[in-house]
Amino acid sequence: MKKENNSKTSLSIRLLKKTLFNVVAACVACGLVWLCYRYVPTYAWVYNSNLTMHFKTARMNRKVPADQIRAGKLGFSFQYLSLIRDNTPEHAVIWMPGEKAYFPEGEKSPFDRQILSKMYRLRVLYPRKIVDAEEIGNKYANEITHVAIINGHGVEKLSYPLDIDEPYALCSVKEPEK
Amino acid sequence: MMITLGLLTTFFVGFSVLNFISFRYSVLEKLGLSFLLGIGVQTLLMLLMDLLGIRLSVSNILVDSLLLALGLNLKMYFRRKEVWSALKKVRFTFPKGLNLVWLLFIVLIICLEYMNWTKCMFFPTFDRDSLASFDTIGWIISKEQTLKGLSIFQGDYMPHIHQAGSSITYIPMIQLSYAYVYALGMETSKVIPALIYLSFLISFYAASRRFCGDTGAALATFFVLITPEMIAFSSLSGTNVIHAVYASLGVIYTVLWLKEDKRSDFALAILLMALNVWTRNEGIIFIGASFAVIFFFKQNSICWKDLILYGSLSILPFVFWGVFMKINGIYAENIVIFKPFYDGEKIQTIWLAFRGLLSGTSYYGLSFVAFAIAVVANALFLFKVKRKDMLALVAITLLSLLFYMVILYHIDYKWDNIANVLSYSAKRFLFCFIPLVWLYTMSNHLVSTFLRKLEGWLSFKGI
Repeated sequence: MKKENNSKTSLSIRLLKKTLFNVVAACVACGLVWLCYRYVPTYAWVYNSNLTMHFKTARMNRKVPADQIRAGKLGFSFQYLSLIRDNTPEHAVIWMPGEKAYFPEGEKSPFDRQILSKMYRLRVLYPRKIVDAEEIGNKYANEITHVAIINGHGVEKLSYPLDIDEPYALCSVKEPEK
Repeated sequence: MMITLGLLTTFFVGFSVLNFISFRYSVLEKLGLSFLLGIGVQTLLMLLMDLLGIRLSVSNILVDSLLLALGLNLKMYFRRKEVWSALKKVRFTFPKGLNLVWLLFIVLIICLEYMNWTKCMFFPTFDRDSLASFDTIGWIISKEQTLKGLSIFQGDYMPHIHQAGSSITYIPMIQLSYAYVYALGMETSKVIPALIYLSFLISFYAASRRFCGDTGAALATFFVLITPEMIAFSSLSGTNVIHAVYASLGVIYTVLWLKEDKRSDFALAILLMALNVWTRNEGIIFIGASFAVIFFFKQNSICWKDLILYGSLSILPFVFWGVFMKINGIYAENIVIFKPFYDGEKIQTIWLAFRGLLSGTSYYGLSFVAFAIAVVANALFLFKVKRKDMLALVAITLLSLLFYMVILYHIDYKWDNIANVLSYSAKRFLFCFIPLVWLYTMSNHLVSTFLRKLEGWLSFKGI
């Protein structure tokens, strides 16, 4: 009986010792993590900006449609392309102007440089075809159905005269029936 | 429903591949590696289907994938008695050295990865590289159900498609994987990078355990996870983190084979190396570095058949893509300089760029700093103690780094200047080394001795 009691006490002491070692080791490990967070700025950035901030945004906006999130992330360029997509049929062949139209000299542009990538524009506009201003040899150059007019560039592609004050317009190549 | 079915099929294909190699992998290895192997093998199958003129519709892909999986499981069926008796002995057990330190890091990994996953799945693809290539190509493949006949690969529609640096010649694993999920009906392709990164963390932990025990593996996985630039890119849609996953696991299983001499690790290493080069062309440097190290380590007991198998099978996807491009007229202006030349300024630019990347903490946190300290502190043990696996790991890491610098030197930068390429692309390629450096940092002689003693002090087993 005495031997059994002694062994129970010894077991309790061993268990207590192990628990204490674990708690101390875990505190040291927490300290190590805290030191990394405190003294390596990019680790703090990972937690604060990259993870926490975006996680909160994701949780608050989980029911927002993907296109709306894209518009928020990709800005004016995406919104502009979405408008073209939503106002043209899927079989449309769209003429789009060159760099100078998007980024006129001496003026601030709401577009980002990504708009110049035809692949990027196709990601939004596909299955519509795109003919860029400088693509004279494009096999769809004679099948254009719509013209994306920016800052007056593209008016000349229309088959009818058009006076336009707006910086952006999307027009059918053939004059709409009155 | 279709999305769940599709992802489960991918998982099943990978699970079947792994069991075909060996059914004795641990539960965690099977959990982690199934999706990684599944998506890699499925995309290879999709390219083969396209080559044979089979439309890449979702029904064709699913049927062919399931047929492949069933074929792979025939071996298990013929050995069913042996498999069943082995599976009956499998138990999911807690780590032998279970302790609060391990638990702390596992909880941190789960919490941080949950936040990372949520972020990845919430934001649709918005990075420039993906929208200008991978994601768009994947989207259009899912619509046109072909890669070889893609409308955007025609020069008379896309005049710049055959120019230097064009995405037409990018090896298509990522594009095909995005095409697969778009065909299943997903709005964005983000489930691919999300699942690949999650699977990688599980696989890396499972593989690291075999070097440095559970606590060391938890520490290594934690520090890999919080590597700043890598965690930021893990939730984007680019190729770099996905490539780092396959390349690093390929090297790790190669080193495991050198360590434990198991045929299953040898086969898995070949497959992961093949998927590494299937993700990005320059993954060939890891095959080259591993090949050289295997030759050096096994020179006394060399099995030429193993060496030939390793070298030839792991570059098969690279060769397959080359043949596919040739047959289907897919090409771009060559950017590789094959003849030897000397350009001192270029060498210096590359060297200085790498020195800047490796010595700072801005992009990789403490990864390379910790590695450098570990290598110096263990310099004597690398050669003295019979831990040849650690010497192999360090050798492959350093040799691959050197080979990468050589590749960068032999590129003709027609589409952009070398400074831009080094500052954007090179820093992302170094992601491949992050798991390797942390694995070495936690499993070198000094740290592994300390961790073994620590687990002994902290473990409740045998009280």
